[in-house]
Amino acid sequence: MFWLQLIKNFIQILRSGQTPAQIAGGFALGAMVGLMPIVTLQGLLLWLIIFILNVNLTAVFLSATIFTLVAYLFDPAFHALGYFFLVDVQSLHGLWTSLYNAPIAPLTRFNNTVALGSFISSFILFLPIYLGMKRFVVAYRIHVGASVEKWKIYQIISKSAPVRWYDKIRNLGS
Amino acid sequence: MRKKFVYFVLVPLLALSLVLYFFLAGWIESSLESAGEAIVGARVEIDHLSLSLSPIAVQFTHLQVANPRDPWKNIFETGRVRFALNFGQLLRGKYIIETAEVNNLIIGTKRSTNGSIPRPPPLESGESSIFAEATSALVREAQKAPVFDLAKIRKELKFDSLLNVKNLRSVQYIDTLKRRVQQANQQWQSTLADLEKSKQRIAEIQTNIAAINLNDLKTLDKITAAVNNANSAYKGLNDLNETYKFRRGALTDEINRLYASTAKIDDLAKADYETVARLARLPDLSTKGIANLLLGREILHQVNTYLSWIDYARTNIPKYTPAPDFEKPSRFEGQDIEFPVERSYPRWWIKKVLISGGEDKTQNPDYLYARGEVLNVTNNQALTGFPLTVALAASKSGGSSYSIDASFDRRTDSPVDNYKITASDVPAGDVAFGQQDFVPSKISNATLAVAAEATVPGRRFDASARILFQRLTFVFDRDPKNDIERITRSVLGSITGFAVALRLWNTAGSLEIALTTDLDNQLAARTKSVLGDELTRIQNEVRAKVNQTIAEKRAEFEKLFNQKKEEAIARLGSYGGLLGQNLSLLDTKKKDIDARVEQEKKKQTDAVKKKAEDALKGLFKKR
Repeated sequence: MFWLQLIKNFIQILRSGQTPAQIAGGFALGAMVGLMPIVTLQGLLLWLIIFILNVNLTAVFLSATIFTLVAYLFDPAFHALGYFFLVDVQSLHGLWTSLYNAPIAPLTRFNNTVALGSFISSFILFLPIYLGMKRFVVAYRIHVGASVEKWKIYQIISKSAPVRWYDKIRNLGS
Repeated sequence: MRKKFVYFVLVPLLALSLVLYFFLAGWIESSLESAGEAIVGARVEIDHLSLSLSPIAVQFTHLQVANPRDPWKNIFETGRVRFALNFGQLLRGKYIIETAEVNNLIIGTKRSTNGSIPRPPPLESGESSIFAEATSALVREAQKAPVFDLAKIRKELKFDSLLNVKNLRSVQYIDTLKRRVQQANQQWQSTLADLEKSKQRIAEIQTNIAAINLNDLKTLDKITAAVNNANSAYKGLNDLNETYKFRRGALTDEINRLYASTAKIDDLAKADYETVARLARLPDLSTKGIANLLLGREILHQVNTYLSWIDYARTNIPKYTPAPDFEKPSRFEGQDIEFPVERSYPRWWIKKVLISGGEDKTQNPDYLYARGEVLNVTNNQALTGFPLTVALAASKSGGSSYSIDASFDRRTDSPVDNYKITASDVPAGDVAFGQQDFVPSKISNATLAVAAEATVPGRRFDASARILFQRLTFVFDRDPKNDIERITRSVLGSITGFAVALRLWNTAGSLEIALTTDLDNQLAARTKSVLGDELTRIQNEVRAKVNQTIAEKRAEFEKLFNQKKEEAIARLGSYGGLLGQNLSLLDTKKKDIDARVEQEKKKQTDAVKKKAEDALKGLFKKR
């Protein structure tokens, strides 16, 4: 039910309302959330940024969900990437050692292969995802939006009882 | 900027954090109490705990820890306690305290409420503790204590059970010797049977010797045949004689060995008497057994109490823990890569606890006011590199003083604990003395001076203590029942102090206890002069019974041994005689043959000589 509503809202967002930058920012930040382990210092900071910045939250949740699945698939790759930076790149050992002995840095779990690998990956992917999503939203609004609304599946989802019931509950008192 | 989030989420979150901060003190207080109760096994109460953020510190005004063995008393209670946590290490989830201040530490205070809590059943460690080992050793010691009531000893003497074969090693040894004689006899019979078989060969040789008729020896051929016959007979008899000598030697050696083995019976008989005397609990007035009898029960009971604390320390101070094994991570967990650390910290570490005892001792004159320091309390000494050390001094308003220096080393696989304790001018209260059936009494108004040391490396244990009883008076519970009690009372009545030396150790395996006092010599001399005769009679009676039992068994053995020995020797002698007789006969025959040979030689020589003379005479006549 929640996810049906999410898809509906996302399609509506693509169509109108918030700016493409807000949607793309939410999606890119959500991608970072989904790719990285949750219980880390940078993870908490990321959520704080998400809630403080006026990015699209639906895009964040949808993106986090999608990229959590991506992270599961690419976990061995993140592990290998993290291991490469932590172990194989000798020149970085000094940095890691000083961070390891610093008081707060260990809370980032930087010395964990998956945590570091996924963080670097999400950091690198942030800009392409942001730019790609922004272009996609603009293109959607110009070329695809009107035809999607005519899709039967969209109408079925929009008019389904759970979504309508969810809308009523959500709009109570507003 | 999402202003609604800031107003409706962040601001309330900050407000909630503030509220939490005010309640946090209560939560920490109850957490510390629960953790303390889990460790001690009795109620731990903290009052007015407060937190400060810069530096992060905890402070409380009062702490009392109930004694699990006496829940209406505290192990100790304190005044204000304050400690600051290392913030940097706290972020890493480690509780590092540089210095903890403990003020007004008082030991053994009374409680107004019951401090007991329901305890979970103790975990089976699979190893027997020093406390359990000591308890069984003390029970053994109590059972060994001699009885001084001679009438009771005489009444309870049960010779049937005392002289059980299991208790008498000499009887067991004699039975072993009997079995050895039986086995040897079987071998002797086999040897004698072999010799019997060779008698036929002797008979054949005898026949051959008899067949040599000297009167028939007229030709050289017959003489040569007779000589060969005699030589063959001689060789045969000589072989048989060698075999006989060898076997006789072996048999005689075995008999001598068996006979020599009987000498050990006397030594074992003496030891058997000692065993039976101990089982009958006969007192040995010449040795130092009285200390055990009079003071042992009480002192060993006290020792056991202290041992239980040593056991407690051994069990509860965290042990050395090596690094965990490498585990392959599952998905999303990754692998933690370790980097060199400038300083590795354990999970928690209180570097120094400064304890200051209260000054106003007149306020509670019965309590102990302690001061000193405890260093390096931690869950992992291998990381801190220091053992836990305790240096405390305590005193009472009456002048009693105590000191304890202890170290608990868990830096390696094998834990090592050391204790050094002194006490002076300690009121002993009423100390139980004697036993229910021997001088039941108590020492009253005594003061004690104690110096004790204990080392507990791994599973071994070695402790010694010297206890000085001073300014004492004896209070006897009843009139003396026998002479020994009367003597003991008269000796005790005249003394005002004595020293006790105690040692417990298990360095050679089982736990041993040695307890001596300087009372022993005085009591033993007086007791011996009065009770010596009666005791000697009982001892002689026991000795006679033991000796009689052994003598009966010994006679059985000697009868068997002599019978088998004589039988074997007689048969050997008979065989030897037969052999000798034949050898003698052969010698005679050989001499006769030799004489006959000589006679024949002379005859032949004479004949040749005559022929030569005749030939010479004929030659001269011709000329």
